[in-house]
Amino acid sequence: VSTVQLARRLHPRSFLRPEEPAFWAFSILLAIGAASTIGTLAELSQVSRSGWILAWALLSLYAVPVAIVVYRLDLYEREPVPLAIAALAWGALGATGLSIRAAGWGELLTAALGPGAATWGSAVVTPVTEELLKAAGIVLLAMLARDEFHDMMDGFVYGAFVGLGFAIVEDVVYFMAVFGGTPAGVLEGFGIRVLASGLYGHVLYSALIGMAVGLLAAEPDDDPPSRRWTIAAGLVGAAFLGHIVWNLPGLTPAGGVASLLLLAIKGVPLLVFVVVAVRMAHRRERRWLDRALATPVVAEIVEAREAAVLRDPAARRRSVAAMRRRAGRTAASLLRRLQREQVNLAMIVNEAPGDTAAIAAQAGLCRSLRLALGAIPGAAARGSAS
Amino acid sequence: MRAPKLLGPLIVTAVVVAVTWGSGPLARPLEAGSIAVAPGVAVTPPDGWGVAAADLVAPWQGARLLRGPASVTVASVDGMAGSSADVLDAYARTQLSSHVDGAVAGDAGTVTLPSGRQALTLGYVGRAPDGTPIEGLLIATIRPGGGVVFDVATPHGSLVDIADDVRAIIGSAAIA
Repeated sequence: VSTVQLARRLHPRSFLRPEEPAFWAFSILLAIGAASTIGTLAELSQVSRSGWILAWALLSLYAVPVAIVVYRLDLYEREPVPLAIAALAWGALGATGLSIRAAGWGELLTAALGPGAATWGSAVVTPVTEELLKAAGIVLLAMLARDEFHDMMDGFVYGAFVGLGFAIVEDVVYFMAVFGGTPAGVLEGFGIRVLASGLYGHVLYSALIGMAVGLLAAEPDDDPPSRRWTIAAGLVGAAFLGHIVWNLPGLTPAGGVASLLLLAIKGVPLLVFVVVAVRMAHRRERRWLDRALATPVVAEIVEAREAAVLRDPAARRRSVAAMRRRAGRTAASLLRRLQREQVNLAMIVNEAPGDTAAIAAQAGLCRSLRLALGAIPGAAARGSAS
Repeated sequence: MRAPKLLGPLIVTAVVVAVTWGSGPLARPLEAGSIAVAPGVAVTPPDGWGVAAADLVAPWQGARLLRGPASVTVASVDGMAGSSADVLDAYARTQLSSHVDGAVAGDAGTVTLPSGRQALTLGYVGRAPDGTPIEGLLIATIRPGGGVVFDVATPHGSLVDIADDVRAIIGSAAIA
């Protein structure tokens, strides 16, 4: 078994896992939602070709940097790209299409309570249905790739990608169907829906729910279950509340600079909450990594000098860049892989200290990666990981 | 081992199905007299008018009232800033083409609805998907955070025949 085959067996890092029932549930629901979303987008593309192109171009300018920042927020173990794309697709095509079909709850509320309930009802019903449908994708992802949900930050990344996908498609629909679809209408919609409020929307709501899923999906740590469930409930509650506050009547945009300021201000509390939550999650990540690196079994594989580099994401990037200069791209790629597998070893020791077979296999993978790296001329000159 | 792996996805799927399609069966028993056609909009169709789904492009929602070849589409949208003209423009650009080919609009006018709301009207002519020449009238007004459009369409020359019914439909409309 080659090093690469061993790595793939230990960490599939893939979305295609047909042996998992959650894979099929995710795929089928995604296809149903996508059929509805794609039909809607196809119709709206006919409204104005120039407006359509401008809408996607503007949203790309916003979405690409957000995606990069979100992806890099996970300090120690970046999520597999196929799974991140699956999360984005769920938000963009699955949850949006299902939400369109779920619009009947607002009408039901109006029918039951009278038209007076419609304005308030919309502020409550829409957030609940949208957040539930987005959360379903995150939960299914956690079920089909449990091995990639180690802590809150992993859930944060997947949740944020679901929210980003949802926000992009919802914005395109609004630009075209509500703001008129012309280039002028698209620019107006971009100003109101993205520039003034993009930071506080679906990305944050779903990221919070993702953190809750990540916390509950991860292997139990020192925290008692009641504390984990309490934190998770708080995160989910904050997401729903943030979305409901955003939709409250009287706080919806009516145009003008004051309206844009209102939109910006009313999202600030949630943004601050998410920043604090991310900092807490980072501290948790550092805590478990330090604890795992200090165990004898990891210390035997990861030298003290390497451990110091692993603890500091910037030092990891610097060491890979130095390796690229010293020994070429292949060596740099191998070093990046070695560092990732060393973090994976720390995770296995942290989450399943009694699973000696898995620990031995992972330790063997790290050793073989180091040997492969050492065989590249120039790579071993100043040590393997720094 | 398979049962726990199946149970979770099944529960999540059940939640998704309930959230996505669950409102339909619950809504049916409530449909009598006044009909909630969209969040914030309810109308009471006169005798002889039926209700059908309106194939509106999201995020517009609504229903189509039908009597023979005449139809009144009641469409509502949330998340919209602006005037009745913006609502009218957005509807005409994105929704009208679904049931009118080659629409040619006249000049816009203003009207006060029975509820006292100010609205904008726009007449148009065009062809139904089956080629029948039709004439129609759009009536657009705003509501908090959104807008409402009544889209009246009849075979050419018969708009006047349903004028009283249209007046009754719009007069019965409860717009939040």
